[in-house]
Amino acid sequence: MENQLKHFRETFGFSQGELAKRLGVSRQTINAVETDKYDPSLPLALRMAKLFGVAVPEIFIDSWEPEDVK
Amino acid sequence: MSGQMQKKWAKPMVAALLGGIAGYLSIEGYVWFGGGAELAEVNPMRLILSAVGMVYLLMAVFVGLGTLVPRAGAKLLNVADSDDLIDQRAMLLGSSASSGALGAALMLMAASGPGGSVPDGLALASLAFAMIFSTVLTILQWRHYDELMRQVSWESSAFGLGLLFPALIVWAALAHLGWTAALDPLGVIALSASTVLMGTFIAAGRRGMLTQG
Repeated sequence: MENQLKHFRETFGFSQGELAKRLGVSRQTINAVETDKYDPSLPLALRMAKLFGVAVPEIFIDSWEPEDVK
Repeated sequence: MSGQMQKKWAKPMVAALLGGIAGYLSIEGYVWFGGGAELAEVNPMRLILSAVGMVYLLMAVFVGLGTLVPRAGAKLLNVADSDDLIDQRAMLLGSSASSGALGAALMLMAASGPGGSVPDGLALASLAFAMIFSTVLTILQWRHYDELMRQVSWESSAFGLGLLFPALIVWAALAHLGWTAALDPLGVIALSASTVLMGTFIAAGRRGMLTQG
C-alpha cells in the first residue's frame, strides 16, 4: 500500500532505527513499510499515526472507493 | 545501472558471490579430500545432501561471524549498519547456531549409512539434536520477533511447503508409475532442507530483506 511514512519520519527528523525503537519494531520493518514491501498491522499503523499526530489515512493511502450497491 | 540500483544490489551480489566461491571450494575440498567422490559414486544424493548442508553451514558462518564482528558484518550482511547487528545479536546468533547445527547434521548424515565414513549413531544423534535445538530456539525466539519477522517466518514455511509438496508428490507419482526412479531417502532430506531454504529466501526477498532499502 502506498504510504507517506518516509515523509513523516524525515519531517520529524527520525532515522529508520530511531523510529523503529519508538514503535517497538525492527529497523527492517520500517524499511519494508517505506519501500512498500510490507503493510503493517492495524495496531502498528495506529501507533505510527499517534506518534506523528495524524490520522492513519494520512500515512497510508488507499485508492479504493466504495461502489454504489443497489 | 543507476547509482541507486547499484547501491541496492551491490552488497547482496558481493555476499552471493563470496558465498558461491566459498561453497564451490568447500564442495571441491569435500570431493577431493573428504572422501566425497567415493561416496557420490555409490549414491549421488550423498553429494547433493552434502552441498545443501554446506549452504546451511556457510550461512551460519557468515551470519555468526558478521554478528560477532559487527563492523565487518555490516559490510557483508544486508543491514544498514553495525547497530542493526548489535540490536539483533541474540536472534542472529541463535539463527546462526541453528543453521550451523542443521548444516553439520546434514553433512554427517550424507557421509553415514552403508559404506559411509561417519557412524550411523553420530549422524542420527546430530540430526535429532539439530531438529530439537531449532524447534526449541524458534519457540523461545518467537516472542521476541516483531510483526515483520513473524510474517516472514509464516511465509517462509508456506513457500517451503508450497515447493516441497508438489515436488514430492509428482516425483512419488512418477516413481509409482515406473516413469522414474524412486526418490532416495537422502534425496527426501535434501529436497526438504533445500525447499525450506528456498522458501526462506523467497519470503525474505518479497519483503525487501535481501536488498538495501
